[in-house]
Amino acid sequence: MRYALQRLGQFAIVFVVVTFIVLVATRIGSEDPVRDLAGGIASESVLAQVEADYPYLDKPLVVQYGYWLTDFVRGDLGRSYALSQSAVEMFQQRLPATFFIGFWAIVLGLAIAVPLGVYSAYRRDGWFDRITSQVSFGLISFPPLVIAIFLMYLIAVRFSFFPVDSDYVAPWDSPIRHFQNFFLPSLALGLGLAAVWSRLLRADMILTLQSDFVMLARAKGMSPRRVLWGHALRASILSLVTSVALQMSGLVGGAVVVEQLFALPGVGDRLVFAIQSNDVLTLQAITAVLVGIVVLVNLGVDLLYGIIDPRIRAARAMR
Amino acid sequence: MTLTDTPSDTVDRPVSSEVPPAAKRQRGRPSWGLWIGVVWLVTLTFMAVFADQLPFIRSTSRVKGAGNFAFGPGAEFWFGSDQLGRDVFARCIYGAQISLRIAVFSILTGLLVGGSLGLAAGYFRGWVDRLVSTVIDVLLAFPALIIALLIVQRTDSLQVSYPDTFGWLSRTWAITFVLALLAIAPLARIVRAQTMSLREREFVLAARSLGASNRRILVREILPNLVPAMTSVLFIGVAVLLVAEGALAFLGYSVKSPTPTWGLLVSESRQRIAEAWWATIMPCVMMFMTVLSFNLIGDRLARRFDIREATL
Amino acid sequence: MSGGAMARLSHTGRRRSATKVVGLIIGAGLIAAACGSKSEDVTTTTAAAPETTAAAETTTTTIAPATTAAPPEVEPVYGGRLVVAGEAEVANPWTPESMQCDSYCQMRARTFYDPLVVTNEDLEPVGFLLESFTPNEDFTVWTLQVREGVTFHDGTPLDAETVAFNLRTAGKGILLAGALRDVAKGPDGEFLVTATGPMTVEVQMGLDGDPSQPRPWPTFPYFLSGQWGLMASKQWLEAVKAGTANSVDAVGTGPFIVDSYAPGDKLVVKRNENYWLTAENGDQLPYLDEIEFRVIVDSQTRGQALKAGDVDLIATSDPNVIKEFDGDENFNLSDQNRFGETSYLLIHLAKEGPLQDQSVRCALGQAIDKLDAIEVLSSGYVDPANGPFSPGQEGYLDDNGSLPYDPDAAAAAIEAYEAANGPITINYSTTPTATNLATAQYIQEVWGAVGVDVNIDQIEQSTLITNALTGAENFEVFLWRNHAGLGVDNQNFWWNSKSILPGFALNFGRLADPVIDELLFEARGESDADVRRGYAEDINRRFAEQCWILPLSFTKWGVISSPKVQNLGRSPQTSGEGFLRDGQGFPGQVWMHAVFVDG
Repeated sequence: MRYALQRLGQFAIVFVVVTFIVLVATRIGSEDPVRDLAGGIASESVLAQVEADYPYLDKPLVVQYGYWLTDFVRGDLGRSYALSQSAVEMFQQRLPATFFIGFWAIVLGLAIAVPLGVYSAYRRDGWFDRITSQVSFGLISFPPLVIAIFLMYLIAVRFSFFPVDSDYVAPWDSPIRHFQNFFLPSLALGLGLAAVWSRLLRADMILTLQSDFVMLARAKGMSPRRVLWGHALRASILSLVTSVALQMSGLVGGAVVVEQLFALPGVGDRLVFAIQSNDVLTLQAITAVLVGIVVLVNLGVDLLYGIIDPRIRAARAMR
Repeated sequence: MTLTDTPSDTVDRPVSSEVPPAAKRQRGRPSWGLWIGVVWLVTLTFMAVFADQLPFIRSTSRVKGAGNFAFGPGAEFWFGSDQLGRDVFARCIYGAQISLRIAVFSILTGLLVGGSLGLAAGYFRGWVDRLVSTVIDVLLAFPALIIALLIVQRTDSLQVSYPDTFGWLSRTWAITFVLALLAIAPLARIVRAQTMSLREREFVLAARSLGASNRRILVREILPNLVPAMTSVLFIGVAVLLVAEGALAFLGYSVKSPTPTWGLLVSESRQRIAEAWWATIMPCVMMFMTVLSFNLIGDRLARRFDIREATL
Repeated sequence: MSGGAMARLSHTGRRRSATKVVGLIIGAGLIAAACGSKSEDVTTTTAAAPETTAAAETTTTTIAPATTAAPPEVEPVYGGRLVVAGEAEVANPWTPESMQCDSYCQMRARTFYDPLVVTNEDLEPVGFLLESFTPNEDFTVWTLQVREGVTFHDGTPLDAETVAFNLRTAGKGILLAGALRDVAKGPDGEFLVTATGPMTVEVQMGLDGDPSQPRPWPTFPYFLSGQWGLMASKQWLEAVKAGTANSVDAVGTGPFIVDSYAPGDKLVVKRNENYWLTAENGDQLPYLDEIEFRVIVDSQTRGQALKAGDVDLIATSDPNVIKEFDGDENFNLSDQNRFGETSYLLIHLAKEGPLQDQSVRCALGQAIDKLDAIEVLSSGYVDPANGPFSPGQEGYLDDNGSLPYDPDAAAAAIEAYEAANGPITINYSTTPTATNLATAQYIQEVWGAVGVDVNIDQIEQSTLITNALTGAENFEVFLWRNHAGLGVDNQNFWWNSKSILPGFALNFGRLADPVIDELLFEARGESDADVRRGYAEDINRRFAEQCWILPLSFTKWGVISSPKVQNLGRSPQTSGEGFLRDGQGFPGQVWMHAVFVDG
């Protein structure tokens, strides 16, 4: 418990530092902060509105950050004046798309990686293992951008089943259309993940399979399948879970590229637009939310360690 | 893919550092993979370095009559011609110069800074470790792409607003700086993990018991043992940064055209891929082969030197 | 129609985006050779009396009605859904005062807003929300008669008070104010646009807003057909100002009502059951149930989306995309390139530097082989331009005295300048789309060949326009697409030195040429079309002589639709005679009133 609080504190610090840096980076040296926040060519009424909403733009950046943080915690994530939309509304419209890209990428990645990794470890150096190794090695060398381009032009353009200009359709609204729109983008990211994870799992499983408790289980006459899936896999889950957490950050970057390419209306797409048009408030909001998510996932994984592996729990208790 | 997900097959277990010897002798792939990588890189580097002298590499200026993707891959233009009538092959080679230069420079810088941090953290532990770890955590928490885009934008406006002080800050430098920055945290982590395990080894304990100073131990004992492992990380790091530059170029935030980088080449002609696939696919292939080669070599080195990465 | 003045197209407050200007550079040799008669026809008809504009219609190939001239074989059906894709999202949606309305914005806004005035196929202004508009004897006061029986989507009626309110409010918007300089203002700074009866509005003209200097403005009604003339509910506008309503929930009188809006993604509009306009056969308009407007920035992707059936209709000015559909039986292509835009390099003339020197500018122009560029960038699909006026426009000249391609002369001039003033470096801004980038690189190379270093800045579209409007530090040259319309008066605020305000200028280039100012002034007050054309041609020659801009090619716009989309270009006029003209000065725009889908 104490450990959990400690980590929570650490992550809170990280969050604050990161969001502070972003605020500084976007607002420093600004000659006309009101106009910058209003974005682009703003009419008098918009400028007046910005002034009313943010009366403290002439104060030092630290003070501005304080206001921003309080607003954020209270649920006011800012607003894009140029597009006449609050950040919360933007997230409501766009976060589901990005979430599903990431979610399905991870699911696809795991769905491919786990069976491949386990079987490769089991039948080490066999033909299956060798082929899988080559292929996954190759896939790792394929940038997600390139995979996405290939998928787009080999499949989406040729087969009208997959749209060229994707849309967000919730899976509960129409599972088929959801699949149509999300399969290729998620696959583009998921393949790379699958490659990394299958190799990771394979390596970990090989070590596990040589450990004592596995040998004992085999000696006791347990079927290979049960040993593999029931015991060995569970022990190797740890590194896989870590890797999933570590990949979150990279997944964000991947989602941005994929959203641009497949024209999916997600948060990544809006982020790029915000950077290009210097939409300060939206930028801050998106970064904060993304960093928050990544940080929370890492925290969750960290705590999960303690639950999964009793040795770690003990080690921590002794610190 | 991040630097901490090396394709390496060896993985550090959370508690036990005892690895059964059998696991080390992985015979996952035939060694011809390694040779492909080496041959490719050597050929590429040779062509990139001597691009100006080699007769079969044209200049990257327009060729009249080759505009609007007039030529596909063939005798006249090995990789075809692009929208403006430039030789795609030539641009790929000159692009290799730029892309490789940026990636290598960045990873070396990143290793210098990140490595020092990791070394300090891993060796001295205590508050140094905690401080460095927090810094690493912060850097890792930043979604890499956002940082990259923000920094590039800032440097752009710096260059415009203050041309006297920042006139030299071209995109090439900005990208190198950004990629180096992004490489620091993962590299620091790896070096830290390596140092931590080396620290407990017998030869270090022996040196310490003999009264060697910290500095001496670091320089004489730990650093030399780090180097082989780091070579592997370097190779893989270059591969990762090449990919990262590609993503940045796709979004328009890499080196300015017409200077070719592979990322730029891939994204430039992407929209016309249906009629002129060569202008996009060829640079893709070049990028893929190069990244693959770096990965192959790096991975082989990793398995040789048994890298440990932090999983906690 | 009661306009009195000559029917020349004019527009106001229209924003052009720099995006798609790519392959339009130079090089129409092939096209000119293949259809050489085309330009000749047009020049002869414009030289003749304006009545022959109808004749021009039959000899040139453009405009939706010309290509779908046969009456529809299919009976209009109610219902159905259309998906449209366009090139850019709008900034500051959707109040007429604030929205930075480019072509796609106009397309969308005119589904939920109606303008006061439209143009008919003969390019004359006719009332739409207005019954009529009448000038006084010397065109210094215009009286507008508002149509009866029109209600807004929120139930409030359209009356003189609302019209006057709209005109006064929107006219103050920073983007529109420049175009309305010659509308008189009272001592309180408000426009002298007053409701003089329940359905009558009076607009007074005054030189630079001064009512004591009445200004004849014969072509004034055209400005009511643009963004300024879009009418929104007064109740809603006031609520937006008070903060109780959202500016994206537009309330107009149009055939469709805004249903949902996700910026950068899509806008959905649904049928207005109580729309006031009916078709010739008595059908209550519109036919469609719903239209979904998507934004697809990549022109190639837009084309692919159409091919794949994701969308039903697209508008694009990218010749490489239009070319793909030209001759394709499976799609309907209608060109909108008459009285169209010119693609040219716009130069920031107020920035200290080599671009303020005429010899440098002209040298840069002479360094570009337009025929070659068009060949390289679009396989010769467009025509080269020699000035800001395209064929058919008032002021177009076959030969305006512009200098021919001559790289040697260009190099010599640059060398002479550099010897005296040091090396020249130019910042060229471009949007990151592939074709614009290719154009940028082409220009970079040909200018490099004559000794000028070019630095390419890739900037997102709305930021690029903001830079131009505010005169940002890095704004020096960029490729621009503008100046559609028929009359030179429409271009007044783009070239008038009075449009330059500190820190903001619709006159992007900050052109301050007293000769052109004078000509524009004369043209605005001139009611004789021939004399006016003379002024326009003089302006054309002046542009060529001074190289204020570097024209490259005449923009081609294409509206491409799948065969199920019917009745394009057949949205009716209020008189029951003739149709609303698609792309009336907003190339890429299509009226949706009578469109229906079949199949």
